[in-house]
Amino acid sequence: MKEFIKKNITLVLAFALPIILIAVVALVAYVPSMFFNSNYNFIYATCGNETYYSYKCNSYLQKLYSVVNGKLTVNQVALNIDLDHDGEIDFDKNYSTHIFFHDVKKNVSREITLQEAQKFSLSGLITDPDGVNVSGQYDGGTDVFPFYNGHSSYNYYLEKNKSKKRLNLINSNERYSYYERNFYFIGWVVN
Amino acid sequence: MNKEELLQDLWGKINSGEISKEEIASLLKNTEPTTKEISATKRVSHLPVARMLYAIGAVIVLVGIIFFIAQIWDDIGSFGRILLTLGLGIVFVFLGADLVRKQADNLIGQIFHVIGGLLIPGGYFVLIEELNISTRTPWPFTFVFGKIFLVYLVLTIIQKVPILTFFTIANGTAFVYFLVFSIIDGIPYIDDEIISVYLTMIVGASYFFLSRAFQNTWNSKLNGALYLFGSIFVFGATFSRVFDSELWQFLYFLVVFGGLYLSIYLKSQIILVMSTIFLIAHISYITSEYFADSLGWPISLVILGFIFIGLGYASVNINKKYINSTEQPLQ
Repeated sequence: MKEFIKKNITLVLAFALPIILIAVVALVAYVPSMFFNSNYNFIYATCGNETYYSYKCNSYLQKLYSVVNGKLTVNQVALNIDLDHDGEIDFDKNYSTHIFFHDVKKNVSREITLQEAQKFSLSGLITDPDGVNVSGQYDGGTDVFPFYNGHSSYNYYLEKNKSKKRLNLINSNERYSYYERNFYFIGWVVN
Repeated sequence: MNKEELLQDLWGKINSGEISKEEIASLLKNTEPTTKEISATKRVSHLPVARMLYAIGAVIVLVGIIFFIAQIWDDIGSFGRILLTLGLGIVFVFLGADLVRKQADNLIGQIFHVIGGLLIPGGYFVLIEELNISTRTPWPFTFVFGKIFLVYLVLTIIQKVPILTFFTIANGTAFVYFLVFSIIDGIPYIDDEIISVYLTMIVGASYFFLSRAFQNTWNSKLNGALYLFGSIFVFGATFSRVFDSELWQFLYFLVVFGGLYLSIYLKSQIILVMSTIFLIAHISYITSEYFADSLGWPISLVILGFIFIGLGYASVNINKKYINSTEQPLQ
């Protein structure tokens, strides 16, 4: 082996250089998120119309769900009114909403019923007790000449200072994922 | 020792009996070209025409295939589309491999490899599209180019044909780019553009190492292309850093002078020309950035003009003195 490397040192370097760069990029990309996580799971809601995307859905979720005294509360939302006077009714009757429990250790979500969600003790704060928060960011996708990927999306991350970890939320890899308003963070599960 | 002195010396040695006339006759007989060698030389001299015809034929075949596939594209269904692109590409590669195996010095096998090599990546893209594989991340393309790279690597090791090495390098390059973009996809704190610049520098440097490894081997025909793309990748990528950083503005001089040294070391006119072009570009940038306002544009232009003439003169002299001392094809 040593003899081969000595004889073909330029060929070995030709292959080694890109491999070293790939290794460094992989370390920079994956290592910070490998050791960063929250100690608390959280619940969130998504909202949508079955046939088209509604940009007001997130506002609907904000009005519909709130955390009061550590428990999820469902509020009455008035439909068929036009509070902002833009000539369109504020909320659609046909919205379907879903609530999900996100396990941060496994980074997977599962849908839960409203009754299940109401059993959790929740923190109404946007950061967990360790200061980690859920933040959204628009990712433009790879667009470096000559490789234009063109797939942009809006993704959510666990974030604290400069540490970030991408969350695999329901719908995050499918349609509508490039709309930031499709997701509503309800609260951290504190027990 | 000139010719007359040599002949005189030789005559003296014949007269003294040190060398016999028969020995000289035998030596001359051995150096005369044989009939076989003469016919080989004639065949080689005809090769450019044959090569041109092969190349034109390959282009016509490829254009014909593309037009034919385009005409019937909507009517043939998914399976037909995959078969006509990827399937046809694989068939051409197999035919090429078989022809190269049977007639190693015949170009026809390599032409089949060219057609196959151009069809296969497109064929895989069709396969991804037709199977509805999600392309939200670059991973599917990474796997495609990785697979094609490995196939060509094995083929070129077995068959030792430059065109196969070319496709190995081309697909390997695409694979490395897609792999890096796949890794950094969705990582918000990594700047795609900076990574691609450093990756391009590394790929260019790899091309230089490959060309050094290929010298005096069956792959040496690829050296011209490797020098050209290596120079463009290294000098171009590095030059893109110059606009953001004063450190790079200084380091870039080292890079292009390194390029000039490399051109002498590898005896490459291409690297010499590219280094000179990028040195001129850098000097022009530095002049416009730092001296145009203080000296004024007309004076700067005059100075730049003289610098260009000086660099051109130096470049020609480097070429004459260190690179092109013997007649060689442009490398």
